[in-house]
Amino acid sequence: MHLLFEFCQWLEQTSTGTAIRESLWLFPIIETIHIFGIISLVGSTSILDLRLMGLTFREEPVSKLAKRFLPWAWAGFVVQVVTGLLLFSSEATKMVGNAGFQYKMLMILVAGLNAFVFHSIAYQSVGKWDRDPVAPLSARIAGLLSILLWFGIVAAGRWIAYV
Amino acid sequence: MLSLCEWLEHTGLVSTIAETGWMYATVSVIHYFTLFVLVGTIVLVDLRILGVAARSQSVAQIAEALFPWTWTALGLALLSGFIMFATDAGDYYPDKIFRIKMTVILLAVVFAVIVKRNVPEWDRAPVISTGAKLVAFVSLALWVGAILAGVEIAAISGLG
Repeated sequence: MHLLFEFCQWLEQTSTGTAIRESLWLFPIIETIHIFGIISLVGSTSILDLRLMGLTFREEPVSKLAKRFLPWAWAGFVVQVVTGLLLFSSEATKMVGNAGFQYKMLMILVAGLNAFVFHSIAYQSVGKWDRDPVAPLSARIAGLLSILLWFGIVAAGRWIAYV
Repeated sequence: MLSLCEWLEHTGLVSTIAETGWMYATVSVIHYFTLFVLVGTIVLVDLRILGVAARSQSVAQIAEALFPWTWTALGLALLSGFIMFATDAGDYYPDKIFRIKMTVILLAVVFAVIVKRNVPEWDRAPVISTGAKLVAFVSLALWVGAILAGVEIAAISGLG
């Protein structure tokens, strides 16, 4: 823990962290990009999650939707990591102890794990249920978990400002 | 107007929300989610008109699928936004950046209506005209500006 805090202190003192913290415009501009990144990432993953649960696009094959929306999810994710790191670097020591931030990071980890498990197990057999209006139970659970986690992540992100 | 704001700030429900941490944060989260749906859907329509996204579908198909979400989210964003405004109305009302944000949103909604009304015509044309693309681009830029202004209210004016 001590090492983590020292790392945060160092990060805050880098010229990048300092510049973002001291500028009236840099932080809000990066945050705006972060918000558009969320829209792209959570919007496209939510569509896939809802499709797995059989709540939308039931007549479209799952793999076709995945091919169409995953690039947006990944693009959004890359934007999130880069802008998120920049925002974090400007107030790392404050963030690391913020409960909203801690829950957010934990949920991102679990969401990533959930997506990884889904892709390496349930999605491997997508050929068998690609056109089913409702995906098998394991895929439905992954979809439900994913959508709940991402909404939780966004809520926790907003909550950072209030704890 | 300012005294109206002061009165609003001190009405029972508003002051309860303002003083209860989790209530205010919940309204703020709702505002956040609804603005994602609002901006996400309208930007997708704009990007389709610009020829960047969803090219396999027609402009009309995308617009028909997404605009109901845009209006619903706009309603909810206005409602949650109004509650947040009400909790600190006396400070928001004279704030310069808040006023800029409201103006930008008003313009953005006007542009959304322009897009919505012109979609059938743009859809019939074999090639999307430069004028249509310009409207879509301005609409997109206005929503970026609205979010930036929203974030700046906290950063510069320290409100919210």
